[in-house]
Amino acid sequence: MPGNIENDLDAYWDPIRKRNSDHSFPAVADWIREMHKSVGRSRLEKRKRRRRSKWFILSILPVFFILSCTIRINRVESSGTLVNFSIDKKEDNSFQKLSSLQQQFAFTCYEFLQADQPTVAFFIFLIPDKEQKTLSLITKQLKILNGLQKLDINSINYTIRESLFSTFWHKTLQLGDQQKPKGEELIQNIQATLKGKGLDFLSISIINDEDGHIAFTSTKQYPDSLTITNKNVQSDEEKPLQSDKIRNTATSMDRLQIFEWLLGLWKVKYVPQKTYHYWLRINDSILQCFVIKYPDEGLIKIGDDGPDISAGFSIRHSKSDSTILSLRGIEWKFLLANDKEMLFKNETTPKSANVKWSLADDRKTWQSAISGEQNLEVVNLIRDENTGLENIVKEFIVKHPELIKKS
Amino acid sequence: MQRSSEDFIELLKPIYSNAISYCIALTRNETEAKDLLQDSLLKALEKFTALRDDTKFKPWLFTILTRRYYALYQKSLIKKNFLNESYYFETVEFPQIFEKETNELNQKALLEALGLITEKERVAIVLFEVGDFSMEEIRMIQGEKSLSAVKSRISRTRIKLKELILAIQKTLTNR
Repeated sequence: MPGNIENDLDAYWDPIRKRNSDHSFPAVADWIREMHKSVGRSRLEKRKRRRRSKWFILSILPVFFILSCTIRINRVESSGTLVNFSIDKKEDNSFQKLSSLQQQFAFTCYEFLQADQPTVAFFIFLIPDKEQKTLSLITKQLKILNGLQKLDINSINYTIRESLFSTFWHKTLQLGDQQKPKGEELIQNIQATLKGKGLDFLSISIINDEDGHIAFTSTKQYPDSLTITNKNVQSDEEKPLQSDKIRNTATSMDRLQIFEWLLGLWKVKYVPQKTYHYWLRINDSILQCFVIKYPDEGLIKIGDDGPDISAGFSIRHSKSDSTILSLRGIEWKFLLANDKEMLFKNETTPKSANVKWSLADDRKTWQSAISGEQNLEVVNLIRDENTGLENIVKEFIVKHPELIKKS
Repeated sequence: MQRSSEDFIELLKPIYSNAISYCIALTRNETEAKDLLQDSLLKALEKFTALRDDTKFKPWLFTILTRRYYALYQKSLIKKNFLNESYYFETVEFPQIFEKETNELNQKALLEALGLITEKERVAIVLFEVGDFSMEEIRMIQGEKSLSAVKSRISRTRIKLKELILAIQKTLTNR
């Protein structure tokens, strides 16, 4: 056979092809008849089973859904990173660099001193979890600062209590908006971290829940004096204050005390008309500014023209523990205050979104800037001692009590 | 649509021997060929109501035979043990379809050579040589997209088989 294969494979296939198995067909046909009945029955049973399982699934699904919506579980998520660092006060370059870093990455450090280390300035800030890239860039830059004494980075977590279904939806499928941390819980967690670091004399206020930004303030009576006037020395009387328990909410009085420097008369610089701002404490929770404008000296006087008085900015500490700055019906939320500036933010009027008060070191001059979309209003002020104006304002208040009521 | 067993028998009768030959060529073993035929006939009986065109009975049945062959003789243990369907109805013992085992030398050499080629090649060449299917039908049964792939597979397998049979016969004569 080997010779055949070169030309033809048929000789090999033929035994299989021509194989006749018809003799067994009648038996197979009987088997088919028998099995056909069983197959028919099984098909019916299969259909029944399929229908039953369909109903079972249809009934179990809503139960499962209700249960998954009812059962609540706790899930720990990171809300941000708390960065604590200190710089030797002699390193002026580092302070400048830090200032430019804050501008570049739009974050704000809270500066504070500690009694046992008067030559070191301490800083603390919190970066929300969604800005982790920014954090790594900031820390990279911080590490190369001269005089950096310690850099402590801690993650701040918060617990989300939500249903099993919501967890599946948010965590597994990554759909929808995740529950935001509750302010109180977040503050507690930050406080715990601060306590662990021996910084429990700092208090925290949430300035913008939506963005998750956090501001730090001191519970001391004169918080900014800690960083401005008493940089080097802290009295023994002040020391116990550092060990005080953190207070989430300060009294209105305490809150408004950081604006105390405003009280009194300020003359507006670089304006053709003689203009003064007179800040007055109306009560424990309201500071009001009165704008006193003298008529243009170039105009012809008719009769006895006194100065024109109107209501300017007002600062109000509300019951909801937030400080609000108002002017002409626009309100700005207090963001932060340090020795050089005070910031307020408005989220509803883009044209006047930000108010920034920049203070000179001697606090005898300051600048108020309202900025927003294509808008910048700057007012420069200098301390004035004209006592006569105080009486004019008081007379004005007596004549216009509705203005105070409105405040 | 309910179809009678007689319809099935009627359609099976002309291709019965052909189907058995196909099973033998694929499995190269009469016992396994019987198992494959029994399993495929049960599957075909279950699906018979779905067959709309009786003229397509042959390619339909051979497609089932081929798929069952792949399913039953998968090399993967997982597939073999867990994916194979088991029938949940009582089965009647399948009749004896082979009288005696053939000792034909040519057939033995061919079956041995068939065992040395891949499953796809084996199915393609057996469908062509034993099943007498056209290239297009083989393409459909094997679920291939390209006809030229089937053509080249068959011609390649033929050459391979020739070489293998030569080698097998040499060893047989040396013995």
